[in-house]
Amino acid sequence: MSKEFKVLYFASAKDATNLSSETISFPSSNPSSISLQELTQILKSRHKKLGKILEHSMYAINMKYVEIDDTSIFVKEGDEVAVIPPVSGG
Amino acid sequence: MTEPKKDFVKLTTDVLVLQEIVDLVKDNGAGAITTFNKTVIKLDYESYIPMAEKVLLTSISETRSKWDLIKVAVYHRLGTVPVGENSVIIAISSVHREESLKAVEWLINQLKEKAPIWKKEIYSDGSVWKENKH
Repeated sequence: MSKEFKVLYFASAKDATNLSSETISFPSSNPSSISLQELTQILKSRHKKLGKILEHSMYAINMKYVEIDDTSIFVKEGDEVAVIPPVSGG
Repeated sequence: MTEPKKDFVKLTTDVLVLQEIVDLVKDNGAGAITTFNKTVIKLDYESYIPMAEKVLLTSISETRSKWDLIKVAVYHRLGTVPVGENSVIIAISSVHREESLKAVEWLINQLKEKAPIWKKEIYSDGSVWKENKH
């Protein structure tokens, strides 16, 4: 079985993907870990409307905020990634 | 013996009742309780609930490091909030009022900036997700 990670979508990202979450397999080129740049490419290729939203969003990996272009962060097997559009609580 | 609970965070589709949240932070040692509540025109809220709880508890702990507080409660409503109902209530008790007054102001700003919560304004011709300005 291939290794997977989970992606959660909220607010405008949920509207753009019509999904609240999905499970994605690692690409065969990088079977156990991908950079955030690769993650962004994978998400854009799966959801055409998501590209514009990602320009203004952050990721949260296992409930911790990371900048979308942070090159020191990698997504690993079993991680929970969330697409976090600009927040508007309160 | 476990310490009595002092921080209360909840994201809920239930109606937020100000008095119930004030009661959570009541304390015999408190000289003051400061509250913030915001009522809305019809709005729709959603949240990444477990992360929002974690972010808000971290914000509370940062607030406690700045001011001497007794009890802190942060409640945020989710789902559709009808006109005139509360979307968010913060209540903080402290020995001296200056501390809870300043802490409430700081904590609502932290919530608006950091908590993964989103509001959607609903119009007759469609809806639009809002973005907090900071």
